[in-house]
Amino acid sequence: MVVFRIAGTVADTALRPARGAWKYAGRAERSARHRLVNRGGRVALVCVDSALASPYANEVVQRIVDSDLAERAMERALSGQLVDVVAADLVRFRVVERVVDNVFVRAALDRALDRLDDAEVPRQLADRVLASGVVERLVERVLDGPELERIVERALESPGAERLVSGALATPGAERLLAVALESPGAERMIGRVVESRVVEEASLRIAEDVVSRLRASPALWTLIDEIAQSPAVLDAIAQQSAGFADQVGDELRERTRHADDRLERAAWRLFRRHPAGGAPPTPGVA
Amino acid sequence: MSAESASPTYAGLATRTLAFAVDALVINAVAWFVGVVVALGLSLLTIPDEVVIALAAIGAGIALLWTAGYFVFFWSGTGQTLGDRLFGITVRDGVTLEALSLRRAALRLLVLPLSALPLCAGFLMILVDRRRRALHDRIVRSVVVYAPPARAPRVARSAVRERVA
Repeated sequence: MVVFRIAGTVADTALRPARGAWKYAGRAERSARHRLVNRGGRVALVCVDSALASPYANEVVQRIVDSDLAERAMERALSGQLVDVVAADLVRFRVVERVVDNVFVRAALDRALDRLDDAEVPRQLADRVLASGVVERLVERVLDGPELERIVERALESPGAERLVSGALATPGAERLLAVALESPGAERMIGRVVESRVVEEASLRIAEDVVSRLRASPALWTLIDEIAQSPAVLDAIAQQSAGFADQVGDELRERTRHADDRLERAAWRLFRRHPAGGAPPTPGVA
Repeated sequence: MSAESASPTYAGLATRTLAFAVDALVINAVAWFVGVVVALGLSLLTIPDEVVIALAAIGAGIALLWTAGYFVFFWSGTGQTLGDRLFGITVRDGVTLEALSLRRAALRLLVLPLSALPLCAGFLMILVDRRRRALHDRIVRSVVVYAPPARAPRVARSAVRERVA
């Protein structure tokens, strides 16, 4: 055993320079590699800066964007799980809220909106949305779903709706709008169709029958009729009407008897072949 | 009356006859009604025939008085009997066209039978007379003219307006 220990010590002593040389060589290699990478990176940055600063950079980017490759790459990226992962991370890390907060804090929302407006982004977005049929599907979904009914019910039951309707009807614009609508020939045709419709006719008949039946059953109506019938004004009117009828009959009777007087007198003149003394006019009885 | 005095229109034979018929109807209706009532009352009693005859004579006298009073009263009042009022004629003085006095109204009634005696020739004078006068009109100097009908004032409408106000 002692022999082995001695042999190991001797070997270690003999190999120590070789090990040091090996370490030194490795250190030199790492240093050279590090310098090479730094210099290469600097060169690359210089190249990138030169390329970005060159007038061909925009052209290159535009060609890349216009190429089918970019489109396919975008489709693959959007169809893959990357979008879901990004969306989940956006939600998880509240990226949107933070960005919005920052936007509000920095008061850059107005500028962003102005830029979007200048770029006609809302119009393009609206065109794209309308062309894609999303609006139609959304409208169908809203109309078919129960949410709209609940919303309408809540809106109608809320006091704000009453205030809104009252305020809208009290405005001069509403009056002008109503006047224009009522004076239009379309409104006249519409009202005419409504009035002549079978529903309105049946409703009118039902209302009339209901009102008449209720009035018949109402003791207040008969009390009112009795009061009116016994009022002095009505009695005077009836008396005047009766007197007027009697006067009319009397006038007719007097007129007829006067004609009879004249005829009798003319007959007597013809019979006696004479005229009233003094050359009286043909109309008898006038002095 | 001033308008009438300007140009009065004299009533003819037909109108006067019908007015007289209405007066006769009224007089007889009242006389018959009273006579029936009295006769029914007397029928409950046992009255000798002499008394009945006397009562009949008295009734006839009352009827004559009633008839005479009827005409005299209306002629001397408004100049219109009920029949005259119905047909719109009135008895007036021949000169002034005023209503007759009581005495002249009575005289007119007394001489009225003179017009009827010679086969109503006195009444037929109305047809040929210039002022449509009968014999008794000539005697009494009266005329019969048309009168505008008297109408009751129409107060109903004004009363209604007052109530509404």
